Amino acid sequence: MTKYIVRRIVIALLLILAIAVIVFVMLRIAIPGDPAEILAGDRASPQLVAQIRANLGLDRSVPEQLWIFLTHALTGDLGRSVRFNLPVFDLIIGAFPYTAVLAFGSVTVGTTIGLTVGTITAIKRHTWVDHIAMVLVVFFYSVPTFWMGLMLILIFAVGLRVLPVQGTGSWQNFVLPIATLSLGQTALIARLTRANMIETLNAAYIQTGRSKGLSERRIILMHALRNTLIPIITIVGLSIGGLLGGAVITESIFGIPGVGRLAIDAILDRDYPMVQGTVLLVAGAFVFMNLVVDVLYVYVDPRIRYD
Amino acid sequence: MFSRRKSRNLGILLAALVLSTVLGAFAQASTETAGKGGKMVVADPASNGSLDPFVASWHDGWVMYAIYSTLFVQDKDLNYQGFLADTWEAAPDGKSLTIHLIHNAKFTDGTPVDGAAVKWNLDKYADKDTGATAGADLVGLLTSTTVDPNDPYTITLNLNADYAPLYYELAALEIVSPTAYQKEGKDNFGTAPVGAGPFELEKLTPNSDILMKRNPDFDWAPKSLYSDPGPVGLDELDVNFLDEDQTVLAALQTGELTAAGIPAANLTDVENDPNITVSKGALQEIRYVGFNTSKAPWDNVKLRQAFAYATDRDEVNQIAYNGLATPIYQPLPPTIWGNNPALDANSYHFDPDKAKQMLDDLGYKDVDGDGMRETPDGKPWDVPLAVPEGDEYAHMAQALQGEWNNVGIPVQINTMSVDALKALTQTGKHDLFLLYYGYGDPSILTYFFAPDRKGGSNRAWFSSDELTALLTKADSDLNQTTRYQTITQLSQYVIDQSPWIFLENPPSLTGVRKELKNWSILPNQTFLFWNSYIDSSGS
Amino acid sequence: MVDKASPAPKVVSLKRDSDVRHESLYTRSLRTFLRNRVAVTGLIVLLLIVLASIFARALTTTNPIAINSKDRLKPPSEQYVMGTDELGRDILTRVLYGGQISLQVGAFSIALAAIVGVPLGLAAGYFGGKVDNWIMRVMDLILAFPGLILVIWLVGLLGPNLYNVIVAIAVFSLPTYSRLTRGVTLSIRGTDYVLAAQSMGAQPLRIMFAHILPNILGSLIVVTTLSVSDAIITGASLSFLGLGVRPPTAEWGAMLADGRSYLRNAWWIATFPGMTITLVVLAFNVVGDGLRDAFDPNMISR
Repeated sequence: MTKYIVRRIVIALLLILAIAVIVFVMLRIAIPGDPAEILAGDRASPQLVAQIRANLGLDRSVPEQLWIFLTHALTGDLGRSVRFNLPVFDLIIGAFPYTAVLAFGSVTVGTTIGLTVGTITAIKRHTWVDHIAMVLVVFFYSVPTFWMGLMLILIFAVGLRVLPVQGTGSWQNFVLPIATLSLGQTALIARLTRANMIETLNAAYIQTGRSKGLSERRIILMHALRNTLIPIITIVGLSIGGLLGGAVITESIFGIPGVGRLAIDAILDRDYPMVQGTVLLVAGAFVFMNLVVDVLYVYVDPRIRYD
Repeated sequence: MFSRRKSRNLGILLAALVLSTVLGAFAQASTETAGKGGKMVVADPASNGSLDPFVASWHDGWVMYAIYSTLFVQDKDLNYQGFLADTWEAAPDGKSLTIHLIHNAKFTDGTPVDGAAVKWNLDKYADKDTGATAGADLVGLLTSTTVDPNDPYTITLNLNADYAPLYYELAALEIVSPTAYQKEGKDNFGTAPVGAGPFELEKLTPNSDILMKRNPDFDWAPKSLYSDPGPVGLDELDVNFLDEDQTVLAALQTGELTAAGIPAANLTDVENDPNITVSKGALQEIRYVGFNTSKAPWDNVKLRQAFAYATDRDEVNQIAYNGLATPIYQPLPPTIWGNNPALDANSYHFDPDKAKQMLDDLGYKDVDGDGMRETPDGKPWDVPLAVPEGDEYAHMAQALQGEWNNVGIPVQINTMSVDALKALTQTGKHDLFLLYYGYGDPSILTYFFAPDRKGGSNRAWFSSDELTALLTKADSDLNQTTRYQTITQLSQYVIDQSPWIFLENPPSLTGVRKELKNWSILPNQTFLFWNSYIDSSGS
Repeated sequence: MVDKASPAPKVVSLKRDSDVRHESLYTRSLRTFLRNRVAVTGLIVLLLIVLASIFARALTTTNPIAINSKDRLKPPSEQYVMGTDELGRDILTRVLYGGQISLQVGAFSIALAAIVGVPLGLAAGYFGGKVDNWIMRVMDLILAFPGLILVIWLVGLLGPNLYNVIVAIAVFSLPTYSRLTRGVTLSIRGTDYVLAAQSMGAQPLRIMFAHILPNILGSLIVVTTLSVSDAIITGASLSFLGLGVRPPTAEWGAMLADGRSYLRNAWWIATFPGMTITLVVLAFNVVGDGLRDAFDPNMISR
């Protein structure tokens, strides 16, 4: 197992390196606009653009720039953001806690409620509880994030005045964004849990358990639920990995200075060092969560083995 | 059960992680405020950049204006008045400008704003190696700055040419503390700015907000703008970076924001709110459609004029701005000095019949009877219009498409990012493009119509010797009256040649909470809040 | 690495091999499905929306993109059943035309993702070892790759259009399918009935598609039905960013996004496209549930 994890980490690092290089090259070809021109603005003379380009080190050849980027990145120096003129590393570290709160908060809430709703609806299959819950779940799932966020703001902040619209000043500020993100998560997990639970509850070995006189509660918790965990862990892992890269829309609607806004602004401003930095984070988060998922498989389902 | 124990551990680990990140986030939360002056919270749609004016391309109206002071300011009549400059005299030949600085100004690090400090700033702006966007026009223009040996508060700017927009340029240059800049260095000054403005930086959270507190020593607010020279009434100013209009609107309604820009579509919502006052003005900007005049068939002035006649600016205004913009018929909007209302009569007003006639005459006729015209050689016609992203431009583009379709012009809208659009116009392979400009001085037209700017900011690829001569004359004329006449001439020339279809001067709507007292907004949209305070009595 | 030679299964599954009833499975499933009134209703709703979108031109009288500045922001009435938008266009007309775009994006991108992703996941889970490694690392690469950069890059190279949107969404949905399929495949490849099939000399392809695939259909159908709405919504966000369909073209998500400025005073602009999205997603889910029930061998045996 340790050997497996070590090798996966090595592969993960190679993967991140590959992504960094691909993005680095992609940014410099085929995407119109370069940071010097954007920084210089509309009125800038070609000389000014050239000067800014030189100040940013963009007058060097692409392989040379790549070499500088990679060698510096190895020492933990991701360069300075063109827009902020601050170290990329510091900016990401500053933004990450907000993103982590949103990611783990919404996944925790969404998974907890989703598992509960999914289990209950699977047991109460084809009753009115099941039907109403499933319609609600699908309704929430079908509402786009930006729409859900704005609706929650209008209802709870503008209408009822019980929660703030935007900002990060207190815990109340995180209630609406986490709710926004977790509604979709809840729906996904609930549907998945219900589907797998029904499948498992009907499976012969569960029927056998029943015939042996095991209590229904014990059957659901010990056997059925555990068997539904494989696809759920997969989805939760992907969700966390995705959310750690920043929830662009939610962050921008609720004015949260997380990684998502940092990344999207960087792309729009062609802030190359910042784009590269956020790409490393996004890639790292995904690869790490995937590794966690694969390791968890082994503990959840002993039939899966890595040597 | 091995697996269950493991998963519980994971749960605890997750909980701990969430908790620690939550705490980390809250540790960065801003502090609670109290006091008689109050805290003004405003929204800015752009996220922040560096606060170092030599590095930033981002000169945010709120933050830069609060932290730094400038030599000159524009008053309500768009005339230039002194700020750090007390009195000044230009040499008759226009080659030098002597400025006597006010004596009481000092930077927030305690050092005086004297001739040496201002000279250091101007020299740095004028140094091409700095690469500053602000003051870029001083590069090669300002040959030297000298401090009067007998008066440390008197400086002379030596110029190598007559430069009409000089005051405009100087009014845009933030003056920083040289002592602090040299101490912090280029890498750190952006987060530890020291200026001589009415506020000083308290806390900077990138992409979130910039919190500033009152500069207690500030008492040199320009008399032309403020009755009370300072210090400012507010305890704090907090600039929040919010990019979603609807969030800004909601936060203004709940009182989380004190003032914010309002989208035209939401004007009635805000006007119905008893807690909000709306100030209506116009931006120093225009929206226009440009032709690539270097490419056939757009090199034909008649064809360009036909498009201008087919354009209904009132409908564009209704559709894109709910009727709140001002339709324009010349290159400068009424909000920029140099606009001449008399020119509008000599421009192209909506006349679809005339447009149809002109297109017929040019040979663009509907051969196959589908309602859309074909090219003179009978081939299908499709006019590509490059459009920036965003509701405003999408609406304008669709209005134009509808209007032009009505006279039989088939239009293909190509939406792209502003940067992609600008890059496209620099290739010279483009056709029509919808774009904007914003500026405070008529010299901006030189950037759009100078021959050496083709492939750069001359996106219409339009120039002529006559126009170049007029532009040069306008930019070097120090006499306001004759400069105005020259600008009128060159505006008429641009109208006649029609490289652009001038569309709208967009509105500026600012919603302000009633708690904020004693404020006003200048025609150039400068928000005067230095004498303002928050009335916490609840009235 | 991942072990290829499976160890003896630790959990003995008594799950029956669905292959026994293979011949009659599909006709029986169809009958089961048709007995499910909710699912059939969903299917009918879905078909109606699809047909209405396809025949939008015949069903409507107004132009979906021509602006009409006289009739801006008109509430629902006899003339305009769903009202008009900020450009004076009939919303019902645009909802119908919009379906053409949104349904194409949803259906084609997800179909593409499933057609490519599921076999990859099966192969990875079944063969393990190097195959698994390579497939999963490529999926990791896609997942870890920042989507927006790829889309902006694609558009920079090829210009914005519908097919780029479909391809982009398909690429990003690929890992979901392959990882889900692989996860379940891993857990059942060592079970008795797979081992039995192997010992009887069944070809890997046959084992994967005939023996393993039916076991993951439940999860797959649920994820697919939900992914369609995801794809519709993602397509909308991309159009909104100027990376998808161009503005005058009607598209549900883009209509919804446009309507957000008018939430307070012209609710109908966003509400009707939003309701349509919900209705379509609901219908997809109900049909998906029905299908899953129909293919579930245990349902039949009851």
